Amino acid sequence: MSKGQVYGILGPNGSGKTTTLAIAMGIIKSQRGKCVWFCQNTPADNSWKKNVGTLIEVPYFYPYLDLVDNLKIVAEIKQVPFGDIFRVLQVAGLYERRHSTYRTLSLGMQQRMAIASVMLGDPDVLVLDEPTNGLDPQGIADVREIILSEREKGKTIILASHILAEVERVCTHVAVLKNGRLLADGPVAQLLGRDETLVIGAKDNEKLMKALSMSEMINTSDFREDGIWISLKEGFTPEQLNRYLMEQGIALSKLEKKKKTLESQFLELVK
Amino acid sequence: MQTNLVRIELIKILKYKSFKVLLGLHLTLYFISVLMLSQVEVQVPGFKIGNLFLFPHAWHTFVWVAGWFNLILVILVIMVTCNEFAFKTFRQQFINGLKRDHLLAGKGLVILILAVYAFLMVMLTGTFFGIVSGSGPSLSGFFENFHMLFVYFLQTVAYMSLGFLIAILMRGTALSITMFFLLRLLIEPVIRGFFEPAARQFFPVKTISDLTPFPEVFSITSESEVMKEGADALTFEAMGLVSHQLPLYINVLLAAAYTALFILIARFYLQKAGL
Repeated sequence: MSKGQVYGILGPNGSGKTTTLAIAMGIIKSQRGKCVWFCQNTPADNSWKKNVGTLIEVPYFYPYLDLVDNLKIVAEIKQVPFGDIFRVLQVAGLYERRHSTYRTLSLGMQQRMAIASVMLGDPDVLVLDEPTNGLDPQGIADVREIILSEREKGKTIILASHILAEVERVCTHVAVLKNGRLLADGPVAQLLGRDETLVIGAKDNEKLMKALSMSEMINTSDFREDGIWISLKEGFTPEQLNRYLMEQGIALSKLEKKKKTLESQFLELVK
Repeated sequence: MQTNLVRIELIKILKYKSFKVLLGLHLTLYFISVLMLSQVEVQVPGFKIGNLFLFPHAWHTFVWVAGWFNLILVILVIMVTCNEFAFKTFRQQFINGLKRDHLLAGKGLVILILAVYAFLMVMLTGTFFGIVSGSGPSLSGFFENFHMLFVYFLQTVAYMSLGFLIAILMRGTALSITMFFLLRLLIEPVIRGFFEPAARQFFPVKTISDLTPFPEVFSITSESEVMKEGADALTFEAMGLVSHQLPLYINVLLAAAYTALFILIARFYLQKAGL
């Protein structure tokens, strides 16, 4: 992962998203492999964590302390001036509740508190594990705004989530995990562009299907109500296909690129 | 700006209601006990209860009384340590950037803060009662047994370190307090019973407990030095009322060694265990 990326970690329940983050933060020791932060620090060496805002699973605070006191403890650990506490409470929409004890917050507000804590000290890296857990639609939108604005500032964000629409909206890169294994990773656009699907149609679709079956360009084809869904083999373009069909005496009445959603790509990958 | 563990721990304990209530209870019970002791009537020729409050005996008396309430200090340490596991805040603070040794040091500071509080409590009450009950000459003995305050300080640190170790191992408040009780009142005494009387003095709870023994009331008289010399022979040990006790300096060294051992085991476990 490089500076400035918003890196989504996707995977079904139990795929190892949280475990991966916990290993990266040094809470769990890995059996194999190595994690390095800022090109030099291991998870066991804690000095770098002051520059990383982390939320793993659910937030943990002292239930009997108010929000300011809870954040004072975080500020002391991260060596951040107390003045920043009020900024992050404003950003998270909790300023009015700053003197409430943590135990009196609703689940959604506790999640907002976690976001406030993560933002404390304006760290260069944010590690967010399911940051929209328990949030209402407004809260989800707020978190999205926060992530987008941090992205604008050039911050690096690692985001584990199974809300794929959210990931698709904010992430530049994704990795898909299943049973602790990496199925795919790369820039979102590249992942979604893989195995591009075309929907084509002609006056005589049967003749079209016959021509397709003889072509070397076609990877898969599927006759559906709205047309023939095809995917091209690597190295072939829709233009080449169109030219080939013209040579076969078939004029296409429909040639449409079907943009894959992250959800459909994800479901295909983890199938 | 440096991470200030003292400030972090103070935020946690000063706003924790149960902590403040128990600390208040500790102080109150100690005061009541001292006041009640001062009112006790003892019918022993040559002995007055007020003598217990005269320097230099006052320090023996006050650390002995304060020792009754060490359990409350232990409960406080167990409570604040087990809270960190119950609230998963050890884990969160580790994620936020504290090292495991910082987590240990934080609780070490709580133990020291409580020990200093207990030390000051005994020193101030001892000084007050010593001055109020004594006539002029008794003040001369102010520093004579003053070292007992430091012995008491070590005792509180040792007990609280044992409580901390149990809390780190058990993680639950109720279970840890129960284990501490059982260890002190049942497990160690039973194990001690299997050993020779001379060896029994070297067990951890026994060693720590023996730091502040019952004052030798029969050697404490307000009579002349001549009388005192005679009375000195009437120790509890000489009368067979208590078993053989190790010299104080040996007890101190042993208790300090046990304290170090408790902390080392807690550190070892905290380094290895999941948070």
